[in-house]
Amino acid sequence: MTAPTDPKTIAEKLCQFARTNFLADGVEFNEHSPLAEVGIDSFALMELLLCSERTFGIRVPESHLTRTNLVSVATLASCISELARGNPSVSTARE
Amino acid sequence: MLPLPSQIRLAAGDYFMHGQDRRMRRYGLPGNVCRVALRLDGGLDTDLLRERVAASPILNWLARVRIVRSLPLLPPRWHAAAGPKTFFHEHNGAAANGAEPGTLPPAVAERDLRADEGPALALDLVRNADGTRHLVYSWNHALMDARGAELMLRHLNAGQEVKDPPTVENLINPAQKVWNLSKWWNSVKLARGSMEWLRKSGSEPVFTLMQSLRPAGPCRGQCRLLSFSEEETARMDARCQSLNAGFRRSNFYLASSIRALHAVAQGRGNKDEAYLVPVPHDMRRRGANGPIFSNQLSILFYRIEPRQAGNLSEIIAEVTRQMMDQIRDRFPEACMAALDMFKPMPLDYYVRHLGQPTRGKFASLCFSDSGETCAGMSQLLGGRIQEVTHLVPTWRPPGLTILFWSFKGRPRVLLSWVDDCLSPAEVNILEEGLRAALLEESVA
Repeated sequence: MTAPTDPKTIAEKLCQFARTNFLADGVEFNEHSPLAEVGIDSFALMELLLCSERTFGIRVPESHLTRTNLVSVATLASCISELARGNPSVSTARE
Repeated sequence: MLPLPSQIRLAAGDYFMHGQDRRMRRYGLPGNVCRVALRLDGGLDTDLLRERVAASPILNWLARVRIVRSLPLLPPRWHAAAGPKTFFHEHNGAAANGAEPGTLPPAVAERDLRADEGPALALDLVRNADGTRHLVYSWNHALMDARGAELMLRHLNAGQEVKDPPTVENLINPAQKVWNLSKWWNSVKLARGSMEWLRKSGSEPVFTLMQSLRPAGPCRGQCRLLSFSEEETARMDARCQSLNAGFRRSNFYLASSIRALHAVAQGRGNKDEAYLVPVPHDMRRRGANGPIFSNQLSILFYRIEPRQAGNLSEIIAEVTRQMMDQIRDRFPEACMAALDMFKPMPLDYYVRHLGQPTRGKFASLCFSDSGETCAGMSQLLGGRIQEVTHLVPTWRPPGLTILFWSFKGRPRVLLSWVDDCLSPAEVNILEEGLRAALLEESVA
């Protein structure tokens, strides 16, 4: 499996997954929606991370589950994109 | 408006909660009845409240339903009785009998509600001597979960702050109205996995606070409420961030609860027995206004070994890992499929059967985080909301429940225990341990 490195493509897939699997119909949601404000909790977050694993083959490590990376689907997608590129400069808990 | 059904299937969680009710009453504890108490200032429009309650098709239907089983070995059903029973009660505060102002009258605090007799819910309005009001919503846990109760309050408070309130269309989960044989067979196959996991986990040592599976005599439930100042809330937030658990606040609360329990367990000499903690998980779609009725829950089970239980970072990492594994293995669905499959069992047999994998221990602790309650609501029908308190009963087993919730961003905790499971000194250790885990400066 080749992981896409374009954050936009990753964000689109994650948004689509969220809409299909755990968001109610009619909830306004896009890649810039603050995750906490649409009711995405730790369980839904884990589902998003598993979606990343299954769809892109990218596992987001515990150390990358930072506030900066979890603002919105867009920031999470950037983190996944950096991990796909093998870039170690992505925001981690050890910063 | 949709016609409301006269009969409907029980959700898997409903029968489980009904079973817990049976088990509690057997040991002399009050039933599986939850309450949420809103303390309001004197601005509450009582006439409007009476009108809303009388006109609510949701409340009136919920007050009529009860669990019936038409034939042995057929799954039980919710049946709506013809005539509504009284469920709205008004009281004057307890000042007359010398109790503290604001204390709930025993008729409210100890109101018994049975899901098989009905009504399984009650709404009590208490006029306190100091001019404030308490609106207490009580329900048998078989009828709904805490999120359903929250939606119920939003339904009552339709207006300026609640612009899109839940309506009768949001009452029932459409999946509960139909029974699909092919889905049922898939559930049977799925259920096997969860039972195997529980059997394996239960065969390894599990810590319990119970000195014996059956109490020596009738026991009593007790509780303690913990509040946190603004400064403490800020410290808790900072600590949560420093542990990299900002988005996994529930995991931070759970880890703190396990570490506090570990301190009590160490006092009892525990070295090898792991802490098994079931955590309910809301299966509703995020942002949805319903369903209100029934337990829309699934369960995740966490098993933390004593060697990990003294360190918050380790517990949070382990909980996250186990959560991922269980979601990946579809454990929550499998668990509910198993509970659904067992519904035809007679209640006493069902209760015994569920206890088998853990040899009657069930868990070391029950934990729940209800999150923000009355989110975005500063008032209810004109009365400013000063305080929100959840009161949940303790199941035995395990004999201890720790519940977190918050109102206006300020967390609160309910420690609820059965008196033969924890000594007063151990309750103090638990409270101190929990406060330390939530608030202390150094990350450990």
